[in-house]
Amino acid sequence: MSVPSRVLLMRHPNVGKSALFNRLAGTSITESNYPGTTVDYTESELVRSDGSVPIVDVPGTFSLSPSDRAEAVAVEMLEDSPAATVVCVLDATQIERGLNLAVEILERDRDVIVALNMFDEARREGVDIDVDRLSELLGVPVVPTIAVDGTGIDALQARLDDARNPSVQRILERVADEGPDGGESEPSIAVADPSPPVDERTPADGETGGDDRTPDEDGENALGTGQRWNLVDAIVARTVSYRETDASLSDQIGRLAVSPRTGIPFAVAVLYGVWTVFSAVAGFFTDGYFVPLFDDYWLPWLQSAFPMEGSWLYFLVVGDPTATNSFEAFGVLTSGLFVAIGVVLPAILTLYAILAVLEDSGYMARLAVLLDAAFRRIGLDGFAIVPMVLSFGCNVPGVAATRSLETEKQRFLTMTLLSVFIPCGAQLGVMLSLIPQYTGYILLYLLAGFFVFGAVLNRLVPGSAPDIVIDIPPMRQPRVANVTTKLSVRVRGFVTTAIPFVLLGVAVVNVLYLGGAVEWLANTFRPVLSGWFGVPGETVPALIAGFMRKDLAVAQLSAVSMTPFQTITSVVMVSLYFPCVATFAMLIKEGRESGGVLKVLGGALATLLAALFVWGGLLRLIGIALGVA
Amino acid sequence: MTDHHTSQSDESAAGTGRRKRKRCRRRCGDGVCKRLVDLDAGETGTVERVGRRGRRRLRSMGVRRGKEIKVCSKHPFGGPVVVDVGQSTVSLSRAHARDLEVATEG
Ligand SMILES: Nc1nc2c(ncn2[C@@H]2O[C@H](COP(=O)(O)OP(=O)(O)OP(=O)(O)O)[C@@H](O)[C@H]2O)c(=O)[nH]1
Ligand SMILES: [Mg+2]
Repeated sequence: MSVPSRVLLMRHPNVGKSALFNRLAGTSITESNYPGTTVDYTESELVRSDGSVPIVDVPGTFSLSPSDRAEAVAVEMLEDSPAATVVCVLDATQIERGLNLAVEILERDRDVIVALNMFDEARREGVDIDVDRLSELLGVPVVPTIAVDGTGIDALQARLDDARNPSVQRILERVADEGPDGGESEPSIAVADPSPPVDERTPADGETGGDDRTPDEDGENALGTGQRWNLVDAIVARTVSYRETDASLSDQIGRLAVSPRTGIPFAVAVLYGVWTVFSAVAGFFTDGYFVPLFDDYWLPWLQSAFPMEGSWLYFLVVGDPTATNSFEAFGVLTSGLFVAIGVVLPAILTLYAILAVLEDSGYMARLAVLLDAAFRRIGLDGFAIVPMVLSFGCNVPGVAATRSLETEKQRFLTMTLLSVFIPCGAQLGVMLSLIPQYTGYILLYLLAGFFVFGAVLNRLVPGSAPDIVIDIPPMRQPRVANVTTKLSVRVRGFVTTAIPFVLLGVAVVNVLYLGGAVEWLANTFRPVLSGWFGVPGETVPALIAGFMRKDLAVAQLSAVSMTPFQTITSVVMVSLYFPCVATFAMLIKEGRESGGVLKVLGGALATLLAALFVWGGLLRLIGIALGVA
Repeated sequence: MTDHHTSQSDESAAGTGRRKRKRCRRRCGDGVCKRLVDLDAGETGTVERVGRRGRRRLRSMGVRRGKEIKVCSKHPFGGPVVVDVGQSTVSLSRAHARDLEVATEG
């Protein structure tokens, strides 16, 4: 029609919009195999022969009446861009529900072009789609695409200008004119039937009147829900045929992974496997390569080569001139570099690789189903597993992922619990390197805290856990290309934002040392630290470092001489207490958008104080009972 | 609130089994009408009525009247019910499954 002013990619969750966006715009935003990956929109430029247009990846939505924050973003995007061309990305294997939303968008008078994505899977599953006929009936271009390998992307680009906005009435007429395909499939073409469709007449409907109606539905171009589905059925009957195919291996695995009898042992095996692989691989690189490199070469060399031993600069950069390992020297270029590159980088690389595989396989949604009953006990639902698992990589994306949860209460609970109780990959890496024999137990103790405090918060915070419907994606083999793209994006993020923070953290602690602040703080807090938690006052610098980076805080603890049990207690304390600044900033950002910063931050801080004193104190009691404290 | 409601209807379903059975023996289509939650894993039926609870969401995912539905698995401790409907696999909460009527053969 005309050159679009802006292009919106819209669709159901998990149909490959982000994949398509990446191919169209040449970006690399996250593609994962679970609904709700994209929780905010991403804008980029689509370069065309005649200049470039803004293109937006909109979060997936099941309908235009949103039920969570991510979906609300999608609907707002559509409403705010009346002149935009909408690329409707359809999952070709689930064409019915896709068409339903496409028709809904057409009712809103937007220029539309349809991308039939996942065409490869549709073919494999025996779904035959008559693309030309579909395009004729809808009156808009329909382009089959396979986003992951780029098939159809050029065609989609080329036909963007042909996007049309046919009236729904015209579609109804065309469908009625044409008559069903082959004659035998019967979905009564009730589209011309003026009486309301049967399931609109159920008594319950009267009470929910507004529930099904979108703001636009009074317009002349709008259909009722039942009518829309009838139209979709009629279109599908004329354009799609299904052949029977055998269930593939991944279908079977998918099935086994989601039924309780096989799924729960499977989940335990998967999670334990993730843990062992993580600790083994991360340890392999750190102990086998970086520890000798830093301890045998870098540290002694820097200690002798750096001038001005005894000066404040030496203390800041190199640290302890007599230290024999890189954890304890505590200079910016000794411990700082070692922790960031030698310990944390291998750990998060490994963890992110594992997470990427988990995300892409489609297993997350299955885990959500399996854990739903347990999470409901603490006022959350199974989908809370997604932010929780992401938090093990880094709490920041974990907090961001809470957007796909439905209620304010759930978002608050999840955000708070994960920023208090879930140790991030960086911290786990350092723990594994310093106290490998205890790390697993500490993790279990923290997870227990997650559930205990979840149960308490659930009673204190008003609100309910809604009943959720989880769409379970097929199991897919993770694609190497996608896993590596994700890895490189995340690692780049780590190198540019986390490493400077680690170095800065070491510098800040050292400056505070030089100024005498650390000693003063240690004396001030000693009564609490040793009285309540049973740890020495010397853990104060670790607690200061914990404001910046949790990994650094744990590393800092290695320099304090403590009994093993005191070490465990102090590591638990470092985990529970104040979230690192990056997470804190994210809590502020997300808090602003869900219930107010003060409420969210206040609640989170109160929870963390309670968690610190109760859960930390309890650990000491356990230690006393066991006779180790 | 939802939780509360859920546990309540659990009790009443157990306590007043007779009334429940009566309601479910109602004939519909050419089969017997049951609540989805009363089907066992592996059983199939045709969606007869989608309850008010979460109807919009369920419909937009393709769970709607006249569709064939198959129970894949039911999770213990009041966990969700996983069904195959059309080309998709969807997991419904117990509350949804109680509020969804299915016509079955038997
Ligand atoms: N086989 C196949 N897989 C695809 C295709 N397009 C996307 N995928 C995969 O489908 C999954 C979902 O893709 P995304 O691009 O994250 O989906 P999305 O629509 O952005 O999803 P949300 O952001 O969650 O709404 C990923 O695992 C992709 O690798 C395709 O054409 N064929
Ligand atoms: Mg996406």
